[in-house]
Amino acid sequence: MPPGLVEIGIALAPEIIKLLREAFAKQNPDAPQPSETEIVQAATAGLIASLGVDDRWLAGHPDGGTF
Amino acid sequence: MRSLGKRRLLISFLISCSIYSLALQHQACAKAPPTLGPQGVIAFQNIQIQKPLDLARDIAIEANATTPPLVREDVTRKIVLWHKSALTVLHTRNGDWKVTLASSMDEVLKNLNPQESSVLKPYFDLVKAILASLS
Repeated sequence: MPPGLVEIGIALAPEIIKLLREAFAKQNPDAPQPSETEIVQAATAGLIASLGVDDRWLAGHPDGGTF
Repeated sequence: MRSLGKRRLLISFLISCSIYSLALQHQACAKAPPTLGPQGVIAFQNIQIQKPLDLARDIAIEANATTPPLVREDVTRKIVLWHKSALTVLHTRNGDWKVTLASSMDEVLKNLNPQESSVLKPYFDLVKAILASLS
């Protein structure tokens, strides 16, 4: 198996699990819904985490070019 | 080596198609919970839109890390920088942010060769589909 495939699988595993959980929750209307506070906190945390990935990659790949 | 690169490209393409199909199916029924207020709805939408933006960035980084790279490093850098800007536009929502976001994706696509475009365009299309679904 190509090593890239393994890395992609590992990278996407949380997202796939999350999608499956959300799909399962739709079949169970009694499942608790996230509160507004939790949604806002999740969005903020997701933003910070994602920007961190960008910054780490850019720091590891310095460049003199422009966008 | 060349056949290995093609095989990885094919695998990446198949994974992209699978994720795209799964995500599109998911997004088609992803409505904000009715209990949320305006701030919560915006946060919910931001999460939904950020997912494919992150996936596009992650796939670009992953494709750049292969040997040989499926996405050139300078292109990956542009995508990472675009991703940072796109998240800022998304979470600040100033002005006509949806048009700005869609235009920025079109601009990024202009810098891609056909191979890179085939890997990343599905995610951009997904973002555009979600943006179009927002009222």
